[in-house]
Amino acid sequence: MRLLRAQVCSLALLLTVSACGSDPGEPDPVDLSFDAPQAPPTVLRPTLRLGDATVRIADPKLPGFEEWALFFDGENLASADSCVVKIERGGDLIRELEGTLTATSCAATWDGLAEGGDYVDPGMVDARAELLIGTRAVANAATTLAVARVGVRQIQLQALTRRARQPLLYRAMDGVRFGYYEVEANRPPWRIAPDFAERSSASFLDLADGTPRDLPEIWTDVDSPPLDDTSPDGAERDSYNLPTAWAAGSEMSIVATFSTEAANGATFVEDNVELRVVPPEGTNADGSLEVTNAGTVTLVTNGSLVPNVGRYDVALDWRFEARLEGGEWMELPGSVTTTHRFYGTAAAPRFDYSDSLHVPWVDVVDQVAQWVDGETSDPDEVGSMIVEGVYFELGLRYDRERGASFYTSYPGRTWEGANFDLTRFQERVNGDVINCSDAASIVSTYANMVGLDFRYHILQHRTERGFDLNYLRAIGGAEFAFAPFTSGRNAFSYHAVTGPADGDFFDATLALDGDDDPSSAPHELWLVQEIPPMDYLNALSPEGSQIGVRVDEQVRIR
Amino acid sequence: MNTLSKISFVATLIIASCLASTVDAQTRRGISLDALTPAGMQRVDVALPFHEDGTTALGFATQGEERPTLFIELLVASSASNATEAMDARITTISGQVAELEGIGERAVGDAQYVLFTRDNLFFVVRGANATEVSRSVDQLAARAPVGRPVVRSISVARPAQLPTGTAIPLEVVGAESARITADGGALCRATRAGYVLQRREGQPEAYSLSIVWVDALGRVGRTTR
Repeated sequence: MRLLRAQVCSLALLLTVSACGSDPGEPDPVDLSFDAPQAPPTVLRPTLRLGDATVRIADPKLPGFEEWALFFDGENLASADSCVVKIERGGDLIRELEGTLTATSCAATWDGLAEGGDYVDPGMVDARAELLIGTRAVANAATTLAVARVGVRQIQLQALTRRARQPLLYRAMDGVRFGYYEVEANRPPWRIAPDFAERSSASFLDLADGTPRDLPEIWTDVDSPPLDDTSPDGAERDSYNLPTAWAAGSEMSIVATFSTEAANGATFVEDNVELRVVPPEGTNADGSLEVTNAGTVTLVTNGSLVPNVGRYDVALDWRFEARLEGGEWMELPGSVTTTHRFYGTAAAPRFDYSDSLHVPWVDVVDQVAQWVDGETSDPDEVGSMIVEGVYFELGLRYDRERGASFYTSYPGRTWEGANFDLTRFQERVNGDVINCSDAASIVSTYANMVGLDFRYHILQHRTERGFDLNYLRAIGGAEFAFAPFTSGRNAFSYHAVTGPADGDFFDATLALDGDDDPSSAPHELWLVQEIPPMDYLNALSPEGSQIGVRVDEQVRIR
Repeated sequence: MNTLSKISFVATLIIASCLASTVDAQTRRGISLDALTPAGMQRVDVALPFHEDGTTALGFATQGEERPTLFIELLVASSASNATEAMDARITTISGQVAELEGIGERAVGDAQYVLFTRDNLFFVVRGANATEVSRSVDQLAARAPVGRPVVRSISVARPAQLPTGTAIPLEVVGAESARITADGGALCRATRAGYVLQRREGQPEAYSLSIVWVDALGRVGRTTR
């Protein structure tokens, strides 16, 4: 019934409209057609995904780390106004980074710091990139990053052959005479650790405020070890970098102890992250390279880092790799560079005495190392360079008044058992005037400490109380002289030289006239380096054949 | 010569002989180290001998300076003959020549900067710019030094009960003007600003011995091993 009524009304309305809007004479036709609305334009949704170039793991405190590169690739990014990358942990925002938006990517760099400038504790964080139109996020992508902390906390150096590494003795700890301090051959020479005064929140690698701990420079003082009032023995035992002495040609085992602990006890330990070290150049792995907190890795040198007698400063560059969730190994940006000083000696020290002073002294080894400067490890050549160094470079002068000894003493009159006051000589307490006994003591002691078995010999006329001399140039002298003494005396009552047992002579007291006639001018400077005994005696004295050689001992160091 | 003169002459000879015997037998207990310090100078070094009948060398510097410029070495020998022997032994280590000097000690050789002489059982070596002048002063002191046998008193040095690794243990020496302590074996002795300390040598056997040489205020040298 209602439908019928509606139909009747519509018809009536139609007829009415027709009647109103047209010529009353002929009704216009009703146009029932209309414009269909346009279909809305097609809008492509922007998308983001993690870019391949993103660094997934890094230690922002490693030297050489510059920035953390975060890349997110995308499509249809033209509609977006900007992008940001948010670093979050546990839902808490650590840092918001302004991204660089292009048509195909959103990229940002992170310095590893939180909003307030503090370092972020090691562990996993989320990095989430958001595309923004105005303030509205229209797309995002996220990934996890591993904030690592890794470094070297101790380096031990071990000889692969017996006695290749030697102890070293500092003779004047804290500048005190007789302040002997021994660094044993088995002490790790490189270490970093919190100082006694630091708060408990400090770690091996970091200071209490999270700042990376500076690595110790090579300790260059040759008289004293580094000091620490709080150490039980007065020497620095926390962070130090001490030189070591090695027989030339030695290969060494490097045992590195690592740490993954940052300040405040925050340790980087993640089940899905593996760390390993890349052997520094010149070394090879001897076992696993896995890096764990307080774990060690052993390497061996590929060849010797100490090829000859000399002083070698060597840098080891420690790089690290990591892989997440069993993926590909990736190198962490940055590296740790440790520096080391190695002294090369000709061989292990040669001493006839075994007391605590008969070990290599740092200042002596350092001096000889500089004289030889890596040129050789041949004992005779090294001995010759010691003679040259003592003769020319120590500022010593012969006692031209009387030829008395100032640093060497003999018990009784037998010439045996000589004592050499090396402690006072190194300080020149008695001055820089010496005689032959002193020169023999200096050369032989320096030689003994770097592995040469030099001994002292006493020369005396077989029957007379002295022997005449040819021209010679005494140590510290500028010219050859017929008489070494100001009195005009042209004879020695005795003379001391040094050298191997029953071997050639080495003598820094004087230089001989090396031409065919040492009894007259002109003169040719001939240092006494590896000279056969009779050649030496004949150049020294016109009575060379009358001179006997006695005693074949090492001086005792005092 | 009449009888009285002969008797007088013989008596004089006897008296002279007795006096000579008294002089030969005279030994000095020592000589004050402090008294040896020349005016205007201070003692800055004491170098103890390395062997029996070696000299103790005292180094003196001008007041306010640290580096010694004058050295007086002395040996308080057990007898005059030992002092002479020590002097002769020292002369053999001089490769040049030294001249006899008059007016110093009982016998003296040397030059203006280096003098060796003996007075009774005391042997001296003086080294420095004005050695002869200093030697005369020293000789005068020696001539007034107390007479008697030179007996050095013992000193007190206590070995520490324990010597842990990596720790320096103080070592006190009581009764010496100056001492030199050398450790052999498993320990190292070291001088510090606060005195001697002993430290175990890592990697060495535990056993160690201490060799101590000291000089007392009268220049007498003692030795002991603990």
